Amino acid sequence: MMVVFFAAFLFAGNINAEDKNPIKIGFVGGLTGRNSDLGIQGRNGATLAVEDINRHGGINGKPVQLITRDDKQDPQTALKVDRELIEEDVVAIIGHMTSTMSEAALPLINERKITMISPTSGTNKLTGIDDYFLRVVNPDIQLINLKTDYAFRNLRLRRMAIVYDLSNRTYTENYAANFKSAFERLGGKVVFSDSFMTGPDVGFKGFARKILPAKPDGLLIVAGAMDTAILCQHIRMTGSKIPILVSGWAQTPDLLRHGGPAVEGVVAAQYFDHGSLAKPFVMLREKYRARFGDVDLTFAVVTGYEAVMVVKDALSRNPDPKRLKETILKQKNFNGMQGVFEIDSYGDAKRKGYIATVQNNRFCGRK
Amino acid sequence: MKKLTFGLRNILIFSFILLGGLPILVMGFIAIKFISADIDMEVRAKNLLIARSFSSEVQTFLDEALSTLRLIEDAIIKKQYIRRDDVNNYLNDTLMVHFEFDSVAILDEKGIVRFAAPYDRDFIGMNLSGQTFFSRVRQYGQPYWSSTFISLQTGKPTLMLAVPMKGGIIVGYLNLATLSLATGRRIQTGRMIHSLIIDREGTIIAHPDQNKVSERQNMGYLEFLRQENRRHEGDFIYREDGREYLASLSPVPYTQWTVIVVVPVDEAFAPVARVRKLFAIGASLAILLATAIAFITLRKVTNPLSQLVRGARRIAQGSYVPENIPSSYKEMDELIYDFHLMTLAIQSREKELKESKETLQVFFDAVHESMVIINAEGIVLLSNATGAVRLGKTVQELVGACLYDHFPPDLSVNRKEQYEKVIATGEPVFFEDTRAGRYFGQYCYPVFGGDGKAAEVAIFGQEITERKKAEDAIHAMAQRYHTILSHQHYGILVVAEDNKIEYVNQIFCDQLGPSWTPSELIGLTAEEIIRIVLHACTDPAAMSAFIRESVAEGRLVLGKEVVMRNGRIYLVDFTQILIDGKRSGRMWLYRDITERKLAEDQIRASLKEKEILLKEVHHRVKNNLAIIASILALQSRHVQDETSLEIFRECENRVRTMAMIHTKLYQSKDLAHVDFTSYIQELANDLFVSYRVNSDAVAIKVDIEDISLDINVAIPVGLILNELLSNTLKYAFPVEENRTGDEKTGAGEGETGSKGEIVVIMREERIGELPSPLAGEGRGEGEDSMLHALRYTLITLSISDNGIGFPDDIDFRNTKSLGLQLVMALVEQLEGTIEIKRNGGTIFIVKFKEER
Repeated sequence: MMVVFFAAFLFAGNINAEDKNPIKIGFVGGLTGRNSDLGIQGRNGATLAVEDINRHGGINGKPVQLITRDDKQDPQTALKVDRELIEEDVVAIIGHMTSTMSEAALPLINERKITMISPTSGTNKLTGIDDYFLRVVNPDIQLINLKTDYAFRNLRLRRMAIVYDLSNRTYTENYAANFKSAFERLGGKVVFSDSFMTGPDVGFKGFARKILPAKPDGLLIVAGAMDTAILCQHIRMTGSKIPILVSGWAQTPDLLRHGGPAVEGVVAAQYFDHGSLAKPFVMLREKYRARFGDVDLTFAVVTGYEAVMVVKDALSRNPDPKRLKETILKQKNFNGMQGVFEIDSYGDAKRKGYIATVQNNRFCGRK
Repeated sequence: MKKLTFGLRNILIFSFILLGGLPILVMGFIAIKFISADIDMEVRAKNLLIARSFSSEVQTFLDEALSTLRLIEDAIIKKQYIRRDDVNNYLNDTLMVHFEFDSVAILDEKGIVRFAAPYDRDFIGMNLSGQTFFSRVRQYGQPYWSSTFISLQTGKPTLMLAVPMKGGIIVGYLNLATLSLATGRRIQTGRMIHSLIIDREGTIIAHPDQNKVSERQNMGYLEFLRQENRRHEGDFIYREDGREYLASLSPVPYTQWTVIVVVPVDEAFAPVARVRKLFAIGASLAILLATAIAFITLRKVTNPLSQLVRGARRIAQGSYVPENIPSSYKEMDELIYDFHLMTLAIQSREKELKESKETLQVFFDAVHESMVIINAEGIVLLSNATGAVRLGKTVQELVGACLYDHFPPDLSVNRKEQYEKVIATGEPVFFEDTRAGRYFGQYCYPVFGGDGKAAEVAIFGQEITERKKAEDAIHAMAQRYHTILSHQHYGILVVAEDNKIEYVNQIFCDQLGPSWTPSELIGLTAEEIIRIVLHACTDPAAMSAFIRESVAEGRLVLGKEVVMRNGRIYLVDFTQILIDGKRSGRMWLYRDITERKLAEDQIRASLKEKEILLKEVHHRVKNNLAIIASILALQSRHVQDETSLEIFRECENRVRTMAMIHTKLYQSKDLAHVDFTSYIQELANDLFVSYRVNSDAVAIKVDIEDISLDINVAIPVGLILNELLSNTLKYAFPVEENRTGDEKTGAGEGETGSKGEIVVIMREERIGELPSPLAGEGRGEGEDSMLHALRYTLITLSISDNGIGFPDDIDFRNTKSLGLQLVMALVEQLEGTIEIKRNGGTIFIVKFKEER
């Protein structure tokens, strides 16, 4: 016993305590590149959620480890990093943040039966399918309907122009098509529709000039925040004051930062009430600021947080990761930051939608 | 809590180790402490110096960037070296030299981009007034450093520097990749040390790992890197991926960035680890050496001790064979010697104990009642032979078995309840029950354990079947006697020896008053009952004295008459109750004789009346007989013939004799019995007068016991006496001088010539009980035969004289003498006997039975 005591004393500095085997959760999103703001915000939300869980003792007494990967907004890279995460024995993958990447990962996760929960992929192409792809946001069709209804009835728009970014084709093409259908169903007309590929040489100035001759009384931009901001700038530079509607993809601080006055009055639809006073949301906002500095809380942060919490709730009920999907679908209802939301039997969420506009360089609640 | 016990060897070895190792440990600890502190301070200072130096370089970098933009301002705006058309080109040239800038733009007062390099037509004309830098620069007029962001053009982490100028703002976009290059280049000592820079939000903007920068990873999870904690220099230790790191911080004031120099702790404090290892080796060697010495030295102590321990175990197992234990020390020798002495003493005492135990066991088994000890679960721990036999087992079979298994279910439940009560309460319990028709008294006592709580029960079982039967019999008898006593016609009061009323019947209660009942009196003290009785008496004082004396004397008292206030008269009997000669209380009997008393009074009155009548009768008879005697006396005066005169005299004497009887009867108390002593004296006197006997010549002695005879016997006896005395007076003493007056009779001197003497003796002898004459008349022998048995006495009457004697030739039984014939007839009437003896005179002995 004395020898053990001495050895412990002498070699105390060399002894490192091993953590208990942590529960690994993967996160994948576009962390670099032009539209990395969404991925970074989603990652930050997931990071905050994991840190909160570990602060409260982990899941079933085990700590949680978040393993992040950058899909670089490239489908091939997305598959590669998903495989890496699966090899790391993650119990679930939070991601991808864009619909195109999520669509690319679908065959792999179904084959390997790994549950993937996307905080932001809203494409309708993935709606109502019994697979391992789940999401904490509604299919965009609901927001699209909300937006078209607002555009038609509130803004009294009748002639819409639509432009979209092909780099996230799965999302943007589907979004544009659904908007067109819904708008025309209401009695409107899409007078212009065109696409572009994001990059430094888009030529937004010329692109803006292409839109206006069609005399639209409203413009829908389905692109990331930066591209949307630049396009808004150039639209306004032409002197046009037409109402601009943006997709949820663009609802990040980068839109405000880079758009400046050009994005004042821009209309967006989201499953996210910027002015919510719900206590979990207010507390999350404070925690995010304390953790990541004086930055705004975006929907990607909130849904990234909520996606991790869905995994935590399910594993708390049933620690078997092989039955994670089943547990989530069985539980059905989850506490979100702004109220309860539902995940249906196909893994699609049902949440309330909100209309927001940019006022004084801020997204403001529903109009 | 389990008590730890340490062996002597271990303690001594530990002490050796402690003595040998403790100083080394203490000194080593202190040395390591000091060394660690010095190294710690040195490493921290060194790293902080590095961080500060790097921070200064970053600051220089930023200063250079600011200078560059100021140069541009100077060239374009102030000195107007550059024409408007050439501004874009100038800016491009500037970028080629100052590659830290990704792009530069010049904005007008409204925030519209007028010039930009590299030239981007999409960028020209954009309104950047919404961005924070614009309002800040406009507000403060000072250069503004933005937060890091992803560049519009490059899509890479970028820092923007906005410098106010006349008519607008110059904005430069710094590529933060250059900072990462700097961090990677900075430290090249090969000690895994690296540095990084984080912005004011904690986002990594420079790091040897570019991915951390491009992915905009945030280090806010480290508390010490939160914004509020990074305003000053300092160092912190944190843990990441299972390893500890020392982080030295130095702020960059312009941008509120923080330069961090990170080194693994184990790398930083490697010298301390080396010293610690060296110390560990040295201490281990010292301890080993101390242990070896301890083992060798202590062996000479512990070996003998071990042998003593083994010896003690052998003794415990009963083996007293001594063992030779070698020793190297005087103290051990003494211990070994004392151990051997102790062994012998134990052996001897064990033998005594064994013998004592065997003796006790004999007594234990000899007890005729069962003695069993059980535990709380009913398991038999000890039993004597009687206890086992009663359950049909041997002692060996019973010990260890459950006692309750040996009883019928009902009995088992009851006994179990009682035994458990003993354990629960710690108090003895006694109860009785039956098994197979036999009664048992169970005396159960708690046996207390070391904790003072009852843990076992000692049961003494006594068979009380016979006692129960006796009790039942006694109870039945008591009930029977109670019934008998209750139905008696007299009051009964029994006082126990403790002066409490033990028994009283209703008849006794009735004498006290109408409302008293036995239940009210039983249990009262003697004093209380006496008060009640006295209150009910007409003469309480006398009754109290009677009671007191009776109790004090303790003798049988019968027939004390007591009159109660209710008018009843009781006859009180008192007796002491003795059982085997010892006092066991006392009993009072109250017989109501009220009616009897009334009857007695009536009878007494009637008897009085009859007595008077009877007296009168005897008086008249006496008078009549006296008249007859007088008539005969008168008539004899007219008789000349001596023989006739004699006959008249004899008749007169006979009549007077009978008259005298009646006189005596008249004088007697009961009018039925005659006092014969005085009668014979008077009769003799009369005869002496009648036969004119000289009392100086003949004397009569009467020796008669105090005898009274019934009238039916007195008259015949009186006549017999009369005849025999008359004969004696006439014939026994023929000398004429013995006569008085003129007549000479035969009464005179005796045969020898001495004075004549007549002796009349009458004795009474009790001859016991004789069967009633009526016993043969159809009455059974046991049927009231006692009532009819008669008590008799034998009366012996002897008349003797010392005269001439009765002639031998005369058979007195068969004579012509009227007197003797009369005697014989009277003897026959008395159913007696008569005999004569001639022995210097004559003795007539008459015997007859008298009923008493």
